[in-house]
Amino acid sequence: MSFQTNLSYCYDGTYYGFLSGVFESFRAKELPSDFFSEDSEQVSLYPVKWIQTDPAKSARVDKAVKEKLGDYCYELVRLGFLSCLPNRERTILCFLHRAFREGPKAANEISDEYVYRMTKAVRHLSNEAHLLKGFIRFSDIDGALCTVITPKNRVIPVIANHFLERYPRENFLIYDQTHKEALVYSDRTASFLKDVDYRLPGSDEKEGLYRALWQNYYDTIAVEGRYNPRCRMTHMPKRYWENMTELGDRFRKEEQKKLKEGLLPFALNE
Amino acid sequence: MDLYDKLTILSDAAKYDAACTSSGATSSSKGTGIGSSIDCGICHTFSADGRCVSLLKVLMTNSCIYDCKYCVNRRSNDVKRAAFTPEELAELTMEFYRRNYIEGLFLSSGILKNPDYTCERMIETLRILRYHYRFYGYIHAKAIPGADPILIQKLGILADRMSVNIELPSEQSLSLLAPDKTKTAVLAPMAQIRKGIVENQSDLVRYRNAPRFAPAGQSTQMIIGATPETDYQILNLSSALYQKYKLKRVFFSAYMPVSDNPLLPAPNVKPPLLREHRLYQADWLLRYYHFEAKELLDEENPFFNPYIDPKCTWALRHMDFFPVEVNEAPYETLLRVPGIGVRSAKRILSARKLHSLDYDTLKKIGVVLKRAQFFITCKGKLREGLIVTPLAAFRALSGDDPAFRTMGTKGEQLSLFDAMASSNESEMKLCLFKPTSPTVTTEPTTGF
Ligand code: SF4
Repeated sequence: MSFQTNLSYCYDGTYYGFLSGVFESFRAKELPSDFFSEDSEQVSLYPVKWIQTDPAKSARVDKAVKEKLGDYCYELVRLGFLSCLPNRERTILCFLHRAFREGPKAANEISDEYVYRMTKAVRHLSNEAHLLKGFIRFSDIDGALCTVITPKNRVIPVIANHFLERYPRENFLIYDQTHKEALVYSDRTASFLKDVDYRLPGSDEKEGLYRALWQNYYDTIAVEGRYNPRCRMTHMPKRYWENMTELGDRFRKEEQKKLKEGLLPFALNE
Repeated sequence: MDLYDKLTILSDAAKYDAACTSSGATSSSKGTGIGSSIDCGICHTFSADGRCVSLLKVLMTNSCIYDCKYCVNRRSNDVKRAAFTPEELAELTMEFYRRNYIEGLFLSSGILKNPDYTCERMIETLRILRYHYRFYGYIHAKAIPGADPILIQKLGILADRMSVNIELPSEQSLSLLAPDKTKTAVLAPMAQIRKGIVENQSDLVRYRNAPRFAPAGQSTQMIIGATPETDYQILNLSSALYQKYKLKRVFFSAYMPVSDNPLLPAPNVKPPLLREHRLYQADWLLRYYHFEAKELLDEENPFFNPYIDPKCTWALRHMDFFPVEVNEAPYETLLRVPGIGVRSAKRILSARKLHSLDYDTLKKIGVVLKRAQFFITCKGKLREGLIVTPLAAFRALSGDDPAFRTMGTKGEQLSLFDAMASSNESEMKLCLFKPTSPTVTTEPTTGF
């Protein structure tokens, strides 16, 4: 792009911070070579411009995206930001420059490198979110349902509604260990927490019983004549297993074995 | 007997019912109860055989007064028997649901004492779930053939989906292997459920709060490979069932040998999984790809080809239909191209509005070019360097059918596919490329 600048943007990592950066890019008519959050490990070769998060500016960008570019682009941008796409900020920014020039149809331009990468990343995110709606396992801890997940993408904002509808009368907690975020729903109020630490406490007898029942059910229903681990793996990639009641033990056992045999240099889930 | 052992026995007895059923109805709990049944299927786990698990699938009891020969629960079979109490099963379902292990319950039963008594215990379980626990999750209940219509009605109001197993694909087979069941006993509840659903729909129009009768519809299931019916007969039967009883799904279940009765395949015969898979693929084509049963099979070719899927088989037999121009072909035509699915066909429609598509873009859209290339042109051109012959297409299509690789190589008995089956490539091709109408001629130069 013609107005590419030897400059990098650094922001606070929030969505509003990011949108403030978008605002700045349009205002100053510049396209930074890098765009990263302050806690990322990225180092830039270019001078850094600090982006101050400004609610008013970011609201203007948010509104413009929605009204001028339509729902599809809006989702692409919002979900693209939650995805684990490398350099997602800059990719989305480049896309927005094009989209504001060409209108909503820019999002259908799948041969465009930025659109392609964003679409793919959003599909990856949506897919992971969909899988987790099923794969999440809650433990009953003193009457509240608690779970720890380790997703690649920031899925909590995407799956929150699903679980709020599923458990309107329960209290529950979903903790994303990868991104240190949590959704807490208690006394019919939902809150989203950032930069938190949480560990699942040990289980009591009743919880242990239901886990055992479930594991037993899982083992029983497999029809031996149809044993097909490859098919299982395609539908349920191994990286989800460690948090799943019916497979977690098996996953850890296999890993122990690999460690012992020297196939793994260190334990993966510590 | 404790809960643990009961669950083992009663889930083990239910597992041969292959239907992977996920939710299909929407009922929101509106903050009053627990749960919501959503319409996109959610798999909570995949069992070691690769099947999606979304429901707790158990029998109320595996005791049975009947003696169907293909069934593990038959009276004459020597197995451990158990039964859940309604309270027990309701609580178990609820605790599994809370932990997000499942979407809901799939409840069936052996016949304890008599059909009415059995049905009443199922109703009681569902009643506790719905009214005591305020459970709004998904419930699939099997109607018990022979139970009083009033009880079937009650069950239908508590369940989201109902099903009656047709069991075997023909009346002769049914009377041979399930002497206690008759075609009429199976079809009567099916007709009643259909009627219930239809009446309910008009009730719902009239009274907004009319109770919903099996809002997710009804389905059925039949066992494949226990009896001599052809794929063609099975596919015709399932199309007829879809039409006549307005079924949502017909499930096929490869027969797992459970008995050494001489009327049935011997216990060491492998279940015909690949055949079951082909039937599902064909079923899919009928429901979503605008195909008709008679296009896929006929009297002369009554079995599916084990090597290539039904859609590719059709394509190879109709090379004159191709190539189609991706930039112009209508939706239904695009769907006929191997390597283009519903999703990529829709993406093609929206992407080509902007500008004409080339092979590179098709790849990005998700078209499997390795298969599709033999059947399409882009801007009037074939893919560069590609020479289209039926043989090359056949090799490309048969070489990468994942189903065949994962299932067919496990030693499944391909001889089941009598008409087609022959590992001899040239004979296979003969079958495949036999012109289906006199006007079709496949290139004589390729030698077949
Ligand atoms: S009635 Fe059902 S459970 Fe009983 S033997 Fe027949 S198929 Fe099995």
